[in-house]
Amino acid sequence: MIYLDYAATTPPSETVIEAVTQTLRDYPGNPSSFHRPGREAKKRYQQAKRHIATLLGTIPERIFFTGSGSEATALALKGHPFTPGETILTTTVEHHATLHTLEQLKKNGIRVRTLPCDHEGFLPEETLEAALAEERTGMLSLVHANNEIGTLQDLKALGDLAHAHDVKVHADMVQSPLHMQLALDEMPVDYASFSAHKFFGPKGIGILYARDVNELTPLIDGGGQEHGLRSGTENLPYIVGLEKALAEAVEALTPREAAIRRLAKRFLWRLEASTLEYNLNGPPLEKPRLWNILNIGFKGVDPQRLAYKLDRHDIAVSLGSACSGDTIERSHVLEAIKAPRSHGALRFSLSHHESEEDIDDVVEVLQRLLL
Amino acid sequence: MEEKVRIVSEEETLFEGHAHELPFRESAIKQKSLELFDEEDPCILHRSFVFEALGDEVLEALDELGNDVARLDAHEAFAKIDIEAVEATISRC
Ligand SMILES: Cc1ncc(COP(=O)(O)O)c(C=O)c1O
Repeated sequence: MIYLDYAATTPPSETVIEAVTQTLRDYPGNPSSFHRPGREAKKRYQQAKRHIATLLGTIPERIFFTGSGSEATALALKGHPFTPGETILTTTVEHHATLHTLEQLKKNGIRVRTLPCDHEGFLPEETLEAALAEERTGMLSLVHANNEIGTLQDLKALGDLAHAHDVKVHADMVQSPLHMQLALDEMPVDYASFSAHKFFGPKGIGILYARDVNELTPLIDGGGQEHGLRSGTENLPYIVGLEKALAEAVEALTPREAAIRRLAKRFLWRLEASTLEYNLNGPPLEKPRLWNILNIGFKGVDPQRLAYKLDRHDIAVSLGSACSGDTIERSHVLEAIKAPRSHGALRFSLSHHESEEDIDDVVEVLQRLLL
Repeated sequence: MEEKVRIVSEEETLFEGHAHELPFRESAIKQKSLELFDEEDPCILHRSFVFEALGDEVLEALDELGNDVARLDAHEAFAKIDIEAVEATISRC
């Protein structure tokens, strides 16, 4: 199997699996209990949180565990105290976790304005500036690294601009940690969402970074865990799994990223050298982007059919579409950047695990299938 | 990549098109979906995947039988096609 769907999820590394199972075995206590097993679990929890905070360039008081990246985003957007009449600004290329949460907020009377991105998925500063001038804005919610086309927004410029207007910034950083060193406290963000399964950690554990916890209202009440922001007994094994995965991601960032860049270049070079008629959706490699996400359109090709055929060749990729009731809808991101409809798009998302031979094999299979 | 088939009965063409576009029986779709996804009522995206798989089965059955033209009752893969006709045959085209 050649797995090229790392943007959907990454398999937990062996060391992560080991850390999770070891924690399940060695820390049976409830971190809220006063007795020894409880205290041991609590200490391990605190240790993990401190370590994670350091790895993300912040302090433990700003880290809150959630059940997913989607939950982190929901907590930031639904938990933030908007004042009546305030607008949330977002973009056309967000993940559904953001878009659908904002749809819900709209139903509750909150104004949402969706800003257009350019044909590579970048939110132009001028567009944001104009919107900030026109709207009484409460928050900018923006995907840092796009999960479909890899676009990396200029968070520094956009976030600074929002802050200059006294506007809070939520960044969906779910795809970011594998590819760059983050120093959250130095970035112009008030909230940021993370998800362990995107960096070789377990599924079902995420983080909300919140600069000022006192501003937020919880979505789940109860025992008051996570500083009252997210009740429910802590999932210590997965928290430790997240810690391990993040530590590995930070430690191995340079060699992993170098490997990914080599593979991405090779992939595009092999496509270029083939007879395939294709286009790269999203920014070219020279622009700010994640190199592991290559969204490729093939001229005249039905992407569902091609994805099916690739699966039969044991090559796992992702579709640039989703089901919506009775129809298959092209991805809103591809629509937003006006990717050519003549080209059926597939997302190939790479990791450091693949070899150059894997990439060559994939292009060869594509060539054969699309002949 | 395109694999087309034709179904003929009494010199009338009942179907001509890609194998995955064949009219498959709902029972076959359900069964394949259960096999692939453990899901009786697949979403449209999974359903299209099921049609690809059923279409492939038809093409593979034709290859297995080895003849250019096969009777529609000659293979269990063809029984999943929702076409009832006398002396119907299926072939690649
Ligand atoms: C950019 C982005 N945001 C949010 C999410 C949601 O994360 P989770 O699956 O942990 O809810 C994803 C995952 O698909 C993502 O890629």
